[in-house]
Amino acid sequence: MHVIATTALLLLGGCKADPSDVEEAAPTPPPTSLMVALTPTEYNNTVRDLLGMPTDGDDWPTPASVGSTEATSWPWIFPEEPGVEGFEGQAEGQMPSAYGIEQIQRAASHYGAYALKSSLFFTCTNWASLSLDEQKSCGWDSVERFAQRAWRRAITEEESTRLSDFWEENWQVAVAEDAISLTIAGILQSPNFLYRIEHGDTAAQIGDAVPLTDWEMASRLSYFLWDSMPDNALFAAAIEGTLSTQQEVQAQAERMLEDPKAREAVIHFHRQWLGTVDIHKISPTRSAYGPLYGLPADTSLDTSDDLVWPSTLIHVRNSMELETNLFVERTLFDGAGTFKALLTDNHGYMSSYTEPLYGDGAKIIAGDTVSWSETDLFDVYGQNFSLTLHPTRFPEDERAGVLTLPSVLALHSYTVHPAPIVRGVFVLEKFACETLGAPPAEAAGTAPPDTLDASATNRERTAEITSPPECAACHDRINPPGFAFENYDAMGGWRDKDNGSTVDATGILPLQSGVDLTFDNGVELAHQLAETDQVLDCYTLQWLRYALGIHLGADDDGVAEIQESFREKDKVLNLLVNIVGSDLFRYRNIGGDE
Amino acid sequence: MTSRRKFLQGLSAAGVSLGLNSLSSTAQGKPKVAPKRLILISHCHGWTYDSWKIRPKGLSEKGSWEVDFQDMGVDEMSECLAPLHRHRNRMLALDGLSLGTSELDIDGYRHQTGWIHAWTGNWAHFTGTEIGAQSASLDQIVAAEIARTDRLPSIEMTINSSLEEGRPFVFPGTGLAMPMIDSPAAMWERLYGPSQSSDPLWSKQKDVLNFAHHEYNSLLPHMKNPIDREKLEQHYALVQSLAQRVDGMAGLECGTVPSTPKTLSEYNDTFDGFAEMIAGAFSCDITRVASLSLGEMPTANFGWDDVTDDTHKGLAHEIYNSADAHQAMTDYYKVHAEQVAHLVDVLESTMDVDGNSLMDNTLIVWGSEMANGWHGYQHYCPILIGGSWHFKTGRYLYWPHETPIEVLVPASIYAAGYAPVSGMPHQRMLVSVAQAMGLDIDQVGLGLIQSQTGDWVDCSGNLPNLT
Repeated sequence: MHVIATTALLLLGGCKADPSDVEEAAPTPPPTSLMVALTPTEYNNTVRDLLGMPTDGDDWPTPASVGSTEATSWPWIFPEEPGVEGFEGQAEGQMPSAYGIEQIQRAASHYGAYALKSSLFFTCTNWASLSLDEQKSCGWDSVERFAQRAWRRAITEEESTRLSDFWEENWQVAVAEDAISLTIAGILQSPNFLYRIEHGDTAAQIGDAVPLTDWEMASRLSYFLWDSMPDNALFAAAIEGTLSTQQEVQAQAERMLEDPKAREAVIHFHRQWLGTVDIHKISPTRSAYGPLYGLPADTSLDTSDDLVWPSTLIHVRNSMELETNLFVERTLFDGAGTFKALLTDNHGYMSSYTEPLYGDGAKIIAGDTVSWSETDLFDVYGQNFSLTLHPTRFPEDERAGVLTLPSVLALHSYTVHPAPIVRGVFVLEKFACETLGAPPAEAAGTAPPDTLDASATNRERTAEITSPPECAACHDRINPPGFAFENYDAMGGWRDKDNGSTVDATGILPLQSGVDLTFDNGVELAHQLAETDQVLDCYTLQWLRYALGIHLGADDDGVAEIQESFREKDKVLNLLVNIVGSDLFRYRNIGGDE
Repeated sequence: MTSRRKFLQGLSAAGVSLGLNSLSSTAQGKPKVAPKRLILISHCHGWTYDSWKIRPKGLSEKGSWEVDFQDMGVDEMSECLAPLHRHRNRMLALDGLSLGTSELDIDGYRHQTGWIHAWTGNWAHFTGTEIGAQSASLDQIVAAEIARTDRLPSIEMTINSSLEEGRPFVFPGTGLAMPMIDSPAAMWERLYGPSQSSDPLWSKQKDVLNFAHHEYNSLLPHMKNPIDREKLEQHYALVQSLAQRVDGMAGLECGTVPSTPKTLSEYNDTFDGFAEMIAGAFSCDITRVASLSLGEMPTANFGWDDVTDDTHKGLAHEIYNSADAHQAMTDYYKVHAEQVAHLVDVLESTMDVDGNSLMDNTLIVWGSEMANGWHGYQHYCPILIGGSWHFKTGRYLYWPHETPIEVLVPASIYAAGYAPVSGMPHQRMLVSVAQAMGLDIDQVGLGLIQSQTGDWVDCSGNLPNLT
């Protein structure tokens, strides 16, 4: 193996751990192992860390000053991934497109120019003042080191030769700075950068199971726990061969979870699991909710107040999003750290924009407020505005964890009324991992009218249209968890009455595991879900799917062991450490390979 | 008012030289089959319906009808349509549509929401700081089917983009709009820069892609899993295709390449410059799809600068309050009609590879982000020009409003402020255009949706009686 000496990354040599140190005799790999591409989030974080640039794109040098003609610095806007079960980074949901490839090419050219501005790029000092020969020598050393960091491993002799040839070609036809930009652009378009390519250590193959190499493990860890490339400590561990055992991998994970990047990554998982990544798509109607914010229900006929409701909603959405992120972060990193707390804690955050939704029962409590600076947020006019979130205790009979967050409730609503069917499906699929399949084609045309003048209660209307016997097989399961949240309107605000009648949120949820959950309302259901093994198992399964980038079934080998461990000790960060220490995470299955 | 038209100048500047290019390619043998092209044009502030519509005597608004343009004199056409009289036999004027689904997309600034609905047919997606789409716009749907792999899939242009109304409306899929080029000079760089530039970095882009290509090639044999390999092969093919396009664009041979346009600031000059760029691009088959966003025109361009310098709030918002404002926006639209007529002139004057004119193989779809400057979505009045290989052109078609979507209208029309029904969903026009361009699809954007009244509205299918 061709190895380049560097000081910054300690890429000094490879000394693999003795295979006899691998303690597992009969590993259980995942049912299949597929190559995963960097997600848009991972791409941008990786480029940032490769170049050693700030987290705030406004603090990057302006593109014009670095030789790129693009309008903005960072992050790059890529087409969104369709995703699988709500998660990006899933192999089955990632197919390259012509537009995506063009964006990759443009992004690579753009960030190639930034190498010259990166404090991490050159292996020498004062490159610009060196002689041409010295510039070329240092330029090549810097390019080769960059390639190793970008491809997240030592490069092979063949790769080094190809890269060297490419560098020589660029050096011959371009000025020195352009030669660097062009070469970096090529490195950033290589599959070794764009994909997490894992072959495993085939010399240690046992059956269909192949342990990941230390380099591959470093990347798996960093993209799972940080949404970005490995840091120097992980690279060093890979070089030293200390990512081979379960204990070594778990020790790294524990270190990584202390890093602020882990908080962002854990939030990122929950945004996808709960769907709040789409919070800006909610559109509650002004005619129903405008009065909550002091606006007349009807819009002005002269259209002069067209912007008033959208502008209000932007504030509300931003607040919902940040409240959700803060709740997850504080609960898991600074609070109880349990799944139970995630589903039951009645403490959270509130801003002036969401206060009308929570009502008088919400009490601001002592603690640090969280403010976002004006440069972070924009309203519909493109003007900056600020947002201050206050630590708040909500009435314990009204709010319990993520299921009663306005963001989650509003996302599963129509524009006027809550959507019990959508909410029920959400609970069953996301929290109980029960599969319902697609609704029949004619179902869309039979949903209850989403109008202000609807008769009866929302529950009664929904029950009526789902009452035919042919609907019962699914709706006997779907409706109860949906009705449980009828105390929350389409913006997630609390309500005792619906259309003049007292809300009926009672029900019995028959889970497929045979457990029946009986409840009076959503808060009770949330508390019961938090104590239900099937739900704890589902949360574990969602994390495993996210970590591995594949669809994993509850019956797949190796899953139950991790689920059982989480049932016994409900600590979410421990769950992540257990996952990275599992065979599912540390091995790949080559049974599907030709 | 600015007088138009520098018609003959336009012909000499663009048409003749481009025509010679095409002639040279057909002179050596039998005419080739020409590709079909699509142009989307979106102006802002919609139409002044009363001065746009045509109402021949004896025809009721309660039923569908059509009239032939063939024998219609210019005086018989409406004030807004009269500038297009000379192209009437290529036209289909569509009276009876609405952007009603935009009315149901409760969120958003009505201009922004309208842009998304008008060209994607789908709900808008607000990210909090930007407006995005939930699916591709019509031009991108068509480009994905008809583009050459070694050329640009599409080109996007805008005039007066500094104003919010000049907003880009082209969406590659979910997410933000694609940027639009705001000057003919920059478009020239996009079209001809790679083949004309002496900057070594232009030609090196192909080499960079080739390096990436080789990396894929080197990796493929090591990929054992067939699913992984298939994905890499697809990526590999797309990189190859992009390199092919970069290479194709760098090696472009168009005979006479138009000279680099000057930096233009006047609206009409910029439009004319873009018309020449479109004709040049089509003539040399650099692209087959073009989109042009016509941002707001200054009041001087349509002769109302002695009244106000604010087209948007001073005139467009006031069309139902002031007869003068209504007339001003009629004049505004007429200038756009003259511009579009000029674009047709340029395309008609340029010979295509099959011996016909470029216009014979082009379909222009001219719409807006709203139906009128009052921010209404009722009476959406797009015009199709060309596409006679598919459409029966030369007609004005009327359909009564029967769709159960309530749309905002002035109290002078309905005291309640809402019309109880709207025109046919404009998505059906998008479907008709897609089908004209050879796509076998029955839906663009939304399909079955629920209105405010709880009624279900089907937005799929094409418009009746266009073919």
